[in-house]
Amino acid sequence: MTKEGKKNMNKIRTIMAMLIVLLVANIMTFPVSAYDANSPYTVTVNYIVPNDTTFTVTLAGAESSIDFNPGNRNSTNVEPDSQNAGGSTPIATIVNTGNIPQTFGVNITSAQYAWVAVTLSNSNDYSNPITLSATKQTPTGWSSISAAASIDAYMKADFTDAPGGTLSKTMEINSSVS
Amino acid sequence: MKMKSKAAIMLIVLIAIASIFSLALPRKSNDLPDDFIQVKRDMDKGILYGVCDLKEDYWNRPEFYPTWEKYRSQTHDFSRWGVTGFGAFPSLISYNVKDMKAGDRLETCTYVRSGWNIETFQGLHLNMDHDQSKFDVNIIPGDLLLSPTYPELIEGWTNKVKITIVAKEDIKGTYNFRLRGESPSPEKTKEYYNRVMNMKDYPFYECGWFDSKCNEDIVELRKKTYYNGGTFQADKFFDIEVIAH
Repeated sequence: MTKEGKKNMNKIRTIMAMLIVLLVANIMTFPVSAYDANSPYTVTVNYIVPNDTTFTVTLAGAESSIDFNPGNRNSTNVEPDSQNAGGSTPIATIVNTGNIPQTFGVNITSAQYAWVAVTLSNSNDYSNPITLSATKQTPTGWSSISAAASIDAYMKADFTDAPGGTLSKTMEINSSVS
Repeated sequence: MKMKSKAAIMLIVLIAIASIFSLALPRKSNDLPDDFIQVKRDMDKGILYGVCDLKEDYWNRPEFYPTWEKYRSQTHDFSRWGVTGFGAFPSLISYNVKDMKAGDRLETCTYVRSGWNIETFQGLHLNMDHDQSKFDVNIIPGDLLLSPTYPELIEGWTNKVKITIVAKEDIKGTYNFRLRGESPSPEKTKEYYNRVMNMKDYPFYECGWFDSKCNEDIVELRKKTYYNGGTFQADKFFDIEVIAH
């Protein structure tokens, strides 16, 4: 064998050795598979539901939260900023931007303060109101909302000996497929 | 000479009308992949089994989503604005698994996007309700900053979300996994807020010349708004069903 041939042979041996080392390292590094030849793990798609569950909440004016500012500690029928029930401008509308009918519910994430009662209705005359609480409720008119349709939230609050300062609650609007 | 002047005036009027419409309508994407219609057909029928294999060219298009055509041509109501809203497509995938043992994994995907006409950037933390004694779940990405869909679709308005389920023990029976959209952590919220406030040159709505209903002060207040998502959420978001034999 020529000198050049020996050099090439050595190169091949080196590469072979490196490949063996890599192979062994792979076997040692990867976790042992749960595969069992007698009962192999298989996955098949049963079905896919091509529904789009999207919704959009719009607020009045430039509001990004629902703020009540009572004139005094015992104010009643206080509307949130930017709402104008008399002019048919609700504080929030919820649009079903998905492609299936949805039913919407509303709640606050913890018990309401004792000094305030917030009511919510789908109508600007506040008919069939619900009083916001930690329990999820579906206001009249919020059930089986078809795709592209919307519902309104007209809100008002009654304050009784309210403390000063800014206090807040988190409101959740939930949807479920009708 | 008179004819030329009339033609020039007509041209200016046409350009003005086109400008108004281009401001009022969200952008429609072009250059769809050749087989886009066929892929969308199968997705809409629920027979596109390689949901995770979809390339961005497909899922990052508004036309991919079943409600786009209905919403893109709607007139915008400037007395209100889209503050929050999101959802997933598809909404449920059911799997049959056979002989799933400890360490076996199942990978699936859905596409989480902003609702139409949303003008804010929404932070969202994705969490999964599931039987933690039997499965580990990994969601990538676990946090999202969803971009606005109005007046234009801004990069990040839709995201591919990959979910990996790993069995902790041998599995038999039916199991349900429910994705939830929650508010991000305080650290993530701060990061997202700063990212939005430092954004430059992204498209937002400006009052047009002939838009008498548009209030410039309100439009100005709506710009660069970060909204901590999760306070409004859908019970039905994205579900996975695993039927193990």
